[in-house]
Amino acid sequence: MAEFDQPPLSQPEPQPTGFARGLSGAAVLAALALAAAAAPLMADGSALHRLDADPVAAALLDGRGSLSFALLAAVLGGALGIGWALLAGLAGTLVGKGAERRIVIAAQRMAGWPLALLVPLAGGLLGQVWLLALVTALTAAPAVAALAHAELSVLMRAEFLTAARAAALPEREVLRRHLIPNLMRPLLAAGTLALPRVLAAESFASLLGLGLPPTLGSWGASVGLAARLGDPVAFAPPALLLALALWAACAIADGVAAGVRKP
Amino acid sequence: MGIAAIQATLPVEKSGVGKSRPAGKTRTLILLPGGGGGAYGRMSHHMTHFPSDPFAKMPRPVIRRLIDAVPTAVLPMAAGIGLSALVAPQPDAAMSLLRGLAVTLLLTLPSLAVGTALGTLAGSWAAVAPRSAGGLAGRLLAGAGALLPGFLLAALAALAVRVGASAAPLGWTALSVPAACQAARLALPAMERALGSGPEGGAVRMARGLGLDERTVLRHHALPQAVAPVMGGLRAAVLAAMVGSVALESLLDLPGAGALMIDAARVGSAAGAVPALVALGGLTALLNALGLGVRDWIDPANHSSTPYQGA
Repeated sequence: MAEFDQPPLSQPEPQPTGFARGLSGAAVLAALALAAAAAPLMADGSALHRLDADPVAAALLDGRGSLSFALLAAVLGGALGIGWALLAGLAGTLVGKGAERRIVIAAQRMAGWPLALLVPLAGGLLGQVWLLALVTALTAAPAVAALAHAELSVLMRAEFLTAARAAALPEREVLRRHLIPNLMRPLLAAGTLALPRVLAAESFASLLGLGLPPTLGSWGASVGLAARLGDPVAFAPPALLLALALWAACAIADGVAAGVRKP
Repeated sequence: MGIAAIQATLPVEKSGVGKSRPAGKTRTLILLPGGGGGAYGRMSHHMTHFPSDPFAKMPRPVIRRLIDAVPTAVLPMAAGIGLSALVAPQPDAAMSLLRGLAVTLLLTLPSLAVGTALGTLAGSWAAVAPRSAGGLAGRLLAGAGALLPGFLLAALAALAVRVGASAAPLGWTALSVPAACQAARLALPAMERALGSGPEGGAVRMARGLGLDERTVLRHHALPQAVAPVMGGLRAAVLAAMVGSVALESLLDLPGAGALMIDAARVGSAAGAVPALVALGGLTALLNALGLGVRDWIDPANHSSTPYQGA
C-alpha cells in the first residue's frame, strides 16, 4: 500500500499560489489607495458629493474614508488580538494551562458570534468616530487572537526551541535569538486577518447609515444611498471598488498566512 | 467479485455515537461489494455511506448538537425577548422581536441550506470535471467568495427591488450566494483530496478496486468526504448570512429582528437595540449548532461502527 500512496513522480510540485495571490492583493489595494488619494485631482472637490457628479470620481473619493478607517481599525484590531493571544500565553505560563484555555475558548466563542452587528449599533448609540474605530477593532480581535494563539502554540512546540534549551542556552537568549524572530511572521499573518473584517464591518454599518459620518465618505454609505434611491449608475462604482478592496484584503491575509505555513 | 479481507492494526477513533473500539487490536476488515459484513476503523469508515432513509427520523448527532446548543442559542433568544419585554419602550416589543426572529430565520435558514447544497455540489463537481460548465461554476464560486459579501448582495437585491424586481426570490438568492461560495471553497479541495493519490483518497481507490461503478463511488464514498468540511466551516457562512439578512431587512423594510435592531439604533435607543442583538446572537448559535449536527451526521469518520451496507 505504501507505494500506492506515493504521488506519481510525474506529478508537478504544487505552486506557491498563496504568495502570488497575496502579492496581487497588495498591488490592487495599493492601486486603490493611490487612486483614492489622487481622486481630488480628477474633478473639482466641491462637486464630488453631488448626486450628479462623476460617480467614479465620487467613489474614489469615498475610498479615502473607507481605506483609512479600515487601516486604523485593522491596526487596532490586530494589536488587540495579538495582545489577547500573548495574554493567554502569559496566563498559561504564570497561572496554568486552564487559564490559558479559558482565555482562548472565550476568543473562539466570540469569533463565532455576529460581532459585525456591534458596529452599526455603536454607530447609532455612540456616534463618535474613534469609538466606532475601537468597536470595529474589537469585532476583529477575537478571530485574530484565536489564530495568533494557534500559531504561538505551534511555535512553542518547535524542535529548534527544544534543541536550544537542550544546549543550555539561557532562557533570555532563547527568547531573543529564536522565539522573537520566529514569532514576527505568524503574528503578522494573524494580524492581517483583521483588515478584511474591519473593512467589511465598517462598510456594512455605513451601508445602513450608521457608520462613518458623510463628511468622511465611505463606499458602504454610497452603496446604501444608491440602493435606497434605486440608482444603478451611482451604485456600481462604489460597489465594485468595495468588492475589489475586500478581495484584495482577503488575498493579502491568505497570502501572508500561506507564507507562514510550512509545506 | 470475492470477499476482500484485510488485517490491520487500527487505532481508536472518535465515534459520533459513543461507540469506539479498543486501541491497538487487530481487526479483520471484511468488505462485501454486494452488501453485508462489518467494518471498523480508519479504512472501514470510508466505506460507509448515508443511511438508506436519512430523513425517516431526526439523526442523533443533530439532536445532541441542538441539546448542547440550548445554553448558547435558546437562552440568549429567551433573554433578548425577556429583556425586550422589560425595558423596551413599546408595549408589544417582545412579540415584535419574536416575530422578527421568525422572519430572520425564514430568510437565513433556506438560503443557507440551498446555498450550501448548491455550492458543495458545484465545488465537488469542479474537482471531478474541472472543464465542464458545472466545474467552471464551482471554481468561479470558490474564487469569488471575498468579492461577494452578503451585505453587498443584499444592497444589490434592494436596488433591483427598487427598480421593480420581486423581493422574496432576490432576497433569498442574495443570502444564499455567500453560503454557496463558502461551500464551494471548502468542498473543492476536500473533493480533490478524496479523489487524489494521497491517504485521504484510499476509500475511493478501494471502492473502485472493488468494482463499484463511478456514480456510486462519487455519491457514497467521495461526496461525504467533501461535505464534512463544508458543514464544519459553516460558521463563516452563518455569520455572512446573518449580516446580509440584517442589511436586507433594513434596506427592504422587512419586519425582521435585524431591522428592529437597526431602527432602534438609528433613534439611539439602546433598550430597543440590545435585546434584538442578543436574540440575533442566539439565532446565530442555533444555526451553527444545526450545521455542526449535520456535519456529525454526515462525516464518514462518525460512521465507523455502521455496518457496510454495500452500494
